[in-house]
Amino acid sequence: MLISIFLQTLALACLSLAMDKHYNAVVHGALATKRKVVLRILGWVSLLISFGLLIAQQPLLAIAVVDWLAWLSCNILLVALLLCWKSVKR
Amino acid sequence: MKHKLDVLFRLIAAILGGYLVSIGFSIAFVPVLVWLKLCSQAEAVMVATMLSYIVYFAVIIVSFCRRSPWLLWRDLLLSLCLFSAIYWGMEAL
Amino acid sequence: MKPDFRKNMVWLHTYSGLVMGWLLFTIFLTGTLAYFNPEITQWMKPELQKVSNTANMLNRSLDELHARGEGASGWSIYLPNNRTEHWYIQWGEGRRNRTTLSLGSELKQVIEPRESAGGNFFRVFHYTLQLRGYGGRYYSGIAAMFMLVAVFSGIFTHRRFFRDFFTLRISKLQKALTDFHGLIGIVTMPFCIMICATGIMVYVIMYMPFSSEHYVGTERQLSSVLSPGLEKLAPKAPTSVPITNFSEIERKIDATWGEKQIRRVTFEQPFTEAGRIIVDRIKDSTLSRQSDRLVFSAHTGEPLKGYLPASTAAEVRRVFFGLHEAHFADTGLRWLLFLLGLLSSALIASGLTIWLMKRLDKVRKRHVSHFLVERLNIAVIAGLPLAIMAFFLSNRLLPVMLENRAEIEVQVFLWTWLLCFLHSFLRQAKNAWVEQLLATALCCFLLPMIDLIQDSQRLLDAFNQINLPYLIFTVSILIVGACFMKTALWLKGKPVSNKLNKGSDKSSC
Repeated sequence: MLISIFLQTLALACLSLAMDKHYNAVVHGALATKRKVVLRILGWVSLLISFGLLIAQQPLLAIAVVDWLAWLSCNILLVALLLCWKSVKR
Repeated sequence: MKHKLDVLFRLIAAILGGYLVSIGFSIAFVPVLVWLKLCSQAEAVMVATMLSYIVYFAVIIVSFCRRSPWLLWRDLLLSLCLFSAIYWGMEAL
Repeated sequence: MKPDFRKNMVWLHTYSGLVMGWLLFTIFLTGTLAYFNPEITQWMKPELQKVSNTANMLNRSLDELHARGEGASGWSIYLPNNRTEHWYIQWGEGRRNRTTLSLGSELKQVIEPRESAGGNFFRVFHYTLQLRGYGGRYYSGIAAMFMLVAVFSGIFTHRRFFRDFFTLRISKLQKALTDFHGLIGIVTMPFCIMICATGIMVYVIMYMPFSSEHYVGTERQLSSVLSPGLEKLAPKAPTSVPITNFSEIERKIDATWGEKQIRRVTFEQPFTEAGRIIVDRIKDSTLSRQSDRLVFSAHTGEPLKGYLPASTAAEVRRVFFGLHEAHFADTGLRWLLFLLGLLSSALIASGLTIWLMKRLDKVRKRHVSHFLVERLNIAVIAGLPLAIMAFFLSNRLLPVMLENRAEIEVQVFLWTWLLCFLHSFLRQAKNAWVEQLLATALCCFLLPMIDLIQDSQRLLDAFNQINLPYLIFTVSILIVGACFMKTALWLKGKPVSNKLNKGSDKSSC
């Protein structure tokens, strides 16, 4: 459960870093196309894995989906807040 | 003034017209479901009523996108006619 | 797509949000609290002690029922579970005319919890608005529909957020609020759509009865066709005696469901030949609102033919209902949903504030509608939490033996809210904001203190028994109080020139 949630956060962080603006804010530098693609793939794959893990854990598929979506919403907020904090600190 | 009237017509169409159309849908869709042998009548009533909210929602959105309120009202009346035609047609079958 | 499609959507978003915003905020905030309905009740009835570890609860309940409920046409036993420590039995005639008795962990011990509206008040209020006889449920249905429209049109209004995902600029207040609004909008969109759609589905036939009336009949007739119950038992003179030992049945149940899965045991006509026992399972393991049920004979304990499976349509509706109530959620998910509920309330509140801010920046002379919106914003966004706190305070301060105590608590809630309205109209906008926020914060800090002064044993007991609902409630109240305090002080320090202030104080709690 915890691993799955952490993977989700990681996935969203990767996806956000695959966007020029946020990459710039965090790493200070231009984002190479190749790295962008890698980050994107990494993000989506770990998102899928986190979903798979949650389903494997919950006996009921429907509850797992609700769980996953709820965590996803909160993780989006978390990542956004982290990025905001990061760009303020700069 | 013209703008306000326009908005008023759209509002009436969205709220009242939408409700009427979705009532029409919820009644007309039942015999269709039964005729297609998808479910029993009582079940069809439930399904049609649930789906009618989607129709209501669609009508609300459409009524604020149509270029003129007259076109909108024409569409609403047409769909009401369509639903009653379906209903009477199914009745006749 | 026509170019003015977006313009229309913006208009729709603005006004569908504005017209229903206050009502929606009220419904969302109280509905969010209703996620913790049993836990709040547990706090509001501190006399309830830890009973869930008691041995042999079913047989003890049965003994009490035999001793007190002689000849009654219905008995029920409600067992405590991991969310509530309320263990009680009921007996009497029909549904309404019933006597309730709460049991304690010691043998023969009876608990008399204070009369209180409890967390159930929030559940009932969020869809009836205390106007059950006056179409309250229709208003909340309409509000849900408006919310769906507002969410949909919001997607087009705040398109930018899909391009700049994860962005929150906090350089300028209005920009920050708009970003916040958009971000929260995306975050809570699935939640809002789910809640509004399922909320409408709860009263699907009541709002749109025509099809049902045309083909089948009233809502009740329709649902009895869709999910047939057991055949009705005719009330008869007592002929037989119900079982006195539940262990045999319990063993059978444990074999089918596993241990600790019983939520409620209902005896129908226990004193007749045909009397039966209906056992309801707890709702942890199903999305549906209706958990599994088993049926036994009331005087032999033999299993009887159970419920027929409900039709698919009825089952779908039950799942919608279950999703809305979220009884299936474990603690983690429940908190998540609670958080999402708070965020949605903050979404609505920030939307209302942005509307006003944008307009006040532009106009030189204020229109009466600006005044009205400003005051309503204060009275709803700051006043509702204050009213809720007053409701909690009244629970502790009203004399315990007061008659109609639960009703008076609700009255306190409503009158406080009315006072907030008056106050917001009488004071200057900024002062009204600050004062109401401060008052809420003060109530939040007072509440645990009063609790401690009234009976310090309560807190000690809560620590000893690890009464989590009680402890967490106290801590969260303190945190909420700190958030309100901070918002109020921040507002107070802000120059007046900016004319307006933020309403999304709940974002941080």
